[in-house]
Formats: sequence, C-alpha cells, structure tokens
Amino acid sequence: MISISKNFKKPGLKMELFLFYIFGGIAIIASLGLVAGKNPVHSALFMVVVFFVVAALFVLLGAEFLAAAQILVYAGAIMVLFLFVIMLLRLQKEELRNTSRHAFQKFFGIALSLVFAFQVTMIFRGSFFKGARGNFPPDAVKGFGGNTEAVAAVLFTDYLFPFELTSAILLMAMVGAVVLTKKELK
Amino acid sequence: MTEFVIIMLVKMFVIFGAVMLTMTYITLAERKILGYMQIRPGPNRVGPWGLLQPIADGIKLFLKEDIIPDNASKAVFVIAPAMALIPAVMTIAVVPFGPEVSILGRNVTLFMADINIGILYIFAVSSIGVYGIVLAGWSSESKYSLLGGLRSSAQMISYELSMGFAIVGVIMMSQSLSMVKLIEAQKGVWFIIPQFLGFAIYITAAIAELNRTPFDLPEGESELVSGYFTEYSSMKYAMFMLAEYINIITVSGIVTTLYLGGWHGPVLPPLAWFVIKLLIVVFFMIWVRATLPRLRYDQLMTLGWKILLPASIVNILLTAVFMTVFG
Repeated sequence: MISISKNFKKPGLKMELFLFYIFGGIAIIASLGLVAGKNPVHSALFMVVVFFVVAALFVLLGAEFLAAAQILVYAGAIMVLFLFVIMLLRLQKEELRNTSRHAFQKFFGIALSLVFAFQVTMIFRGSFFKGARGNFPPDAVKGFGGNTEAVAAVLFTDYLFPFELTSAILLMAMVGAVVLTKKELK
Repeated sequence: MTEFVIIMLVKMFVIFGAVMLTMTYITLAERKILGYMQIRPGPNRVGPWGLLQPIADGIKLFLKEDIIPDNASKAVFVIAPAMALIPAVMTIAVVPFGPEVSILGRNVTLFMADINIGILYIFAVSSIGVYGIVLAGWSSESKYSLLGGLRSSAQMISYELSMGFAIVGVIMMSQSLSMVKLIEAQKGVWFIIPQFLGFAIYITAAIAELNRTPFDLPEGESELVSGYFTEYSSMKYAMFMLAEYINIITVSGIVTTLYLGGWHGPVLPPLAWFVIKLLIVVFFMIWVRATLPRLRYDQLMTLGWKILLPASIVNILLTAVFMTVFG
C-alpha cells in the first residue's frame, strides 16, 4: 500500500495512508475477534467485517471491480451460506466451551502462524517498501478503460483456459452435490 | 474543495430526506391502494384522507416498549435491524434521479455518485441485506424467527442469481456498468422493449428479494407468526419496516434506470419523469401484492431454480445472438 502511494503522486496521499491505517487496524482487530471468538456466529460476523475492510483497501488501490466482487461473492454469498450452516447446527453453549480435547491446538496454531508470518516477511522483504512495479500499474489499467475492462481483457484472453477449467470444476462439484443429496439413484 | 463538500452534504440531506418522506407515504399509499382494491376505504381517520397516518404510526412505534427476549443473543439482536437498514440506505447513493442541472449558477448532478461499477455496487450492497434477516432470525432464539430467517436467506440466495443474470443482458446492450451511461444508452429505445424477458425476470426476482407477496413466506403470518422479526418490537421493528420500504424505492429506482429509460421522456423535466416512472413501479408492486396469493415453499424454489434461472440464461444467449446478427 505504501509502495503504491509512492508510485503515483496525487493529492490526498496522506489521506490515503491515513485511511489505510484505519482500515488495516480494523482488519487486524476483526481477524483477532474471528479467531478468539467463542461463538461461531460472532466469528462469522467478524469475518464479514474483514471482507469489508479488505474491499475498502481494494478501493484505495483503485481496484473497484475487485472490491465489489469481494463483497458480492465472499460477504454476500459464501459467508451467508456459512452462517446458514452454523445456524442449522445450533451448537449448545456447553459444546462451544468444550475445548479440552484440543489442548495442543492453540499452541501449535500460534507457533505455526508465527512461522508463516516469518516466511511471508522473508519472501516480501525486498518488495515491501520499494514496491516492485507489476504488469498493470494504474496508467496501464487506464489504457484498458478502467479496471473492470482490464480484468475482463486479461481473464478472457491470457487466462481463458484456466478460467474455463475453473468453471468446469465448479460444475463438477455442483453435479457431485446433487448426486450426494439424492437418496435413491435410479 | 469546501464547495464540493457543501454541495455533497446538501445533496445527501435532500436525497435522504426525500427518500424518507416518500417512504413514509408509500406505506400509506400501500394501505390505501390495497384498501380500494379490496373495496374498503383503508386508513381514513388520522387527518384528511388519512394523510397523517404515517406520522401517527411513527409516534406509536417510538412510544412502544422495546423488548429484548431473555434468551436472545443480545449484541446480535441489536445489530440485526441496523444491518438490514444500512444496506438499504447505502444503495440510494448511486440511484440516478436526474442528469446534471444548474442550481444557483452551479452545475449539480441529481445523484450522489456515478461510479463506474454502479450496478455491481448495488448488487454487492444489497447482497449484504440478507444478514439483517438471517441474524434477526438466529439471535431471537425463537423457532418462528429461526425458520423465517432460514427461509428468507434460502430465498434471497436463490433469486439473487436470476437477478444478476437478468441484468447481464442490459449490461451487454449498454456496454457499461455505470448507472448514468445505462440511462444515456436508452435515449432511443428503452431496454424494456429488447429486454422484455430480462425485465420480467428482474422484477419477479426483485419482488422475491424484498420478501413481498407472493414471495413473503419468510414472514408468513399463518404459519410463522411474522417470521424473522417475530420477537422485535418498537423502533427495532420499525427499522425492519423502514428497510423494506426504502428497498422498495431503490428497487423501483433501479428498474426505472435499467429498463424504463431512466429520466428520458418528452415535455416534462427529467427529474419528474424519473419520479413518475419510479412511482409507477411502486404501484405495480402494491398491485401485485393485492392480486397474487402466496406461493408454497417448493413452488417458490421451483420457480427460482427451474424457471427463472434457465430463462435468464436464455435471455443472455438471445441478447448475444441478436447483438451479433443485427448489431
């Protein structure tokens, strides 16, 4: 984020950084709430908050299409289905508190996430503050006529095969779900 | 900069105020129109022709006792009505009520913002509206609320798909996601003529999204008391009602923008045309409520998945074929 604001000089740079810190802060707090929350519904709601602030970060980067898609797909569809399942399960309060079976889980979880954080830092150490220029800087995106057009242009040319493959996989999953829910196969 | 802020603030107050005022009178209009369609006068005691009824309703709701059930999940129970209302209000920001006009020597647009992903924004925000309903159903710790919430979320997810696909036809014809460009593309022919199939699908799905008759099973009185807001009272209940009626206005605004040519029309100023068309769509929704009986749950799912969804895909195909052959 810092890298981007260094790359293109425009008014309101400080504002952008300020907003980034606000949204980043909310994202961190909400993700902590997501992990630490005892009630699965509360955790799901914290996750929705995370999706929202990440969408806000996308907007700050000038990627409105990604932001809208993020909210539409993750917050609007996937998390609703998650909530749906959690609600149907209707966990009892005693079951929720029963964490003794997973005594080591917390320890391993924290240790592994520290390792992961270290790895991520090492990988991006070189590009964190310099901001290596990608293939689609803001002026290139402008050349396409906007980021929706840019995403479409790349998705339906260079990445057409993976794109179609993904849709075929999703279709298979859908057929699989229908087969599994059918009680009798004729 | 300061001028910009002042203009935006004034617009915000004017648009929000106008929508709230229209919303309160749509509740009255709905009761009056339903009354006349059922050959009874409707509310007619408070003020002439019942015109003060919405104010009386508001005062009544304010003064009612606010009850939170003992077993309810308190925080979520309080947040839920807000989560239903906020997305409803947020979508108004991109509804284009009129083009640029000159007021007091300044060029002012009659909408809050024309963002280049207008339609996607509306979709994204309105897909959040379902949280209010789901959470209200869950947090109330009541069987009726939970069933209502579950039904409603299943319904909204099912119909959102057809709604999205129906709009694709319009986007293909206008080559833009911006609400203003969509209206400009309809200068000659309104999209309701080439996209009549899409229009039919969209308005059906939109009524289902709003949980209105004939798709109001989530709040089916005869079986679920009043569904997800059974346990709500006072202003929290009022917030669900506000959300529903503001959503009616926004959906009518979107239908006007997408299919009815927006502010285009002869003689009258653009804003007047937009409002007239919007009110016609609102009237249509009330008319539907007075006419059609409630669907059964399996009929609702069949209609959504087996009729509307395939029809919307056929609509996309037909649009593509016609655009390639004649365009």
